[in-house]
Amino acid sequence: MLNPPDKGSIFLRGQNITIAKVDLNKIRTRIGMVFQHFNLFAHLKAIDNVSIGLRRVKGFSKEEAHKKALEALSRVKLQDWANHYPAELSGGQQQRVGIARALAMEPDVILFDEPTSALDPELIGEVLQVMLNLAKAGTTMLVVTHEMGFARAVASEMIFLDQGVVVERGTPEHFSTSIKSDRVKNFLSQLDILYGSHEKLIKESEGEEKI
Amino acid sequence: MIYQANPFEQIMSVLNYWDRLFSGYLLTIWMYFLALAFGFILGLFLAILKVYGGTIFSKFSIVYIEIIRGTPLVAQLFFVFYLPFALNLNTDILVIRTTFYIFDREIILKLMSYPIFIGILTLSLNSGAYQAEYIRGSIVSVGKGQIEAAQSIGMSRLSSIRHIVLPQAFRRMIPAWSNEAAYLPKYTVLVYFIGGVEELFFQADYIQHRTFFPLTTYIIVAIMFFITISIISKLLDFTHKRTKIPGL
Repeated sequence: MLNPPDKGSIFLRGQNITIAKVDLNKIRTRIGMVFQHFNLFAHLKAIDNVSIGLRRVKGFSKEEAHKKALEALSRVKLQDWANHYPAELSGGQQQRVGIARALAMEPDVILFDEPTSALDPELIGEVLQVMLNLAKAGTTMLVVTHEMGFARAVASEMIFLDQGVVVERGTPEHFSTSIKSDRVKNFLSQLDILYGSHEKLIKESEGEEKI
Repeated sequence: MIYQANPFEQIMSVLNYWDRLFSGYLLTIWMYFLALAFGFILGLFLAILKVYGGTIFSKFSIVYIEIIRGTPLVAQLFFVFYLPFALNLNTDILVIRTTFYIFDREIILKLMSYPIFIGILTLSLNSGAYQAEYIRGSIVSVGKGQIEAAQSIGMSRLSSIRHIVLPQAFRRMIPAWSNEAAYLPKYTVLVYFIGGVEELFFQADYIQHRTFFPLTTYIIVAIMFFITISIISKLLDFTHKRTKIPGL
């Protein structure tokens, strides 16, 4: 709801939140958001990034907010980094602070906008690990991602979007066995070339050279 | 041959009026600080209006800034000075005046009167327009992601601006804004044109007529400005370093 939708409606726990009279600020406290580029508050320490929402939005006292923020940080295994500023943390750590910030507000659902696509391959693992733990703990998450392996392992439902249109939807089993659309097959084979069989990539580029 | 006093004698005879230099200096600094402070408040308001005001309110801010930046400060001074007369308003403003003694020398310090009020008001209105642009620049440089993130955890727009955007914008603002802080002391001099404000240049004029050493007088006044502005620059540099965000 940071960008007003073009059309359609969004329901949160049965309540339509796209009608004019809802208080969007209230709704946003119930929807967590994790950004592609982290968007941590640069002037605040990790702990204050997490606690500021509790203090300014939920009206917690300083001590209460601090305590809850520390709990959220320990859920993403960053309690030892609480007093560091975002610019002093690695990308993966920053994203985990971002997750803790969303988590601390105890939202009904957390949205992830490509949470790992701005990270080094080595740092993706720690973020996915944290997300996996959240999923196991029963947090509702809506994740936009290219990490197909992760999606298959965690998701209860997967939706493949292309240019804003739903191409295919189904369970993870469906996506590993019985894909219907060519668009999805093509995407997966591209991933396969990138991460799996390099021979094919090399072969294709040689082919182009000959032409 | 006309008797020509040597430089040392000239300096001593000008400095003999140190009480006037002192009271003039205090009035200049007084006007400077008030104008800078009020200008900052106005500038902040204009900047927020320009960035977040939508199409209508940002227009208001743009028009104000362009009018102020597009006209001479002296013209603005005269305009604000004569406007109350044209409208038949009461100009008997509260006068604040103190006298005190240093080394048996009586120092007369007038801190508020109609022309002083007009001077401070006009300088504030003028400085506000320039400061607005410095503040706007730093607000825009903070980036949309910060306010989006603040709103994503349910903070209102106003609260996001106050707690997330402005603390970062103020830190980034200091180097550019120090321009305005260094310009303004020199602009207070223009208040001399509306008369009746006994600031540093008024006193300098008085002294050079008494001593007949204009060059020496104005060099001493220039040195006073130079030292003041150097200190202001150093203080702002220091503040900039102290408020730096670790890691950035």
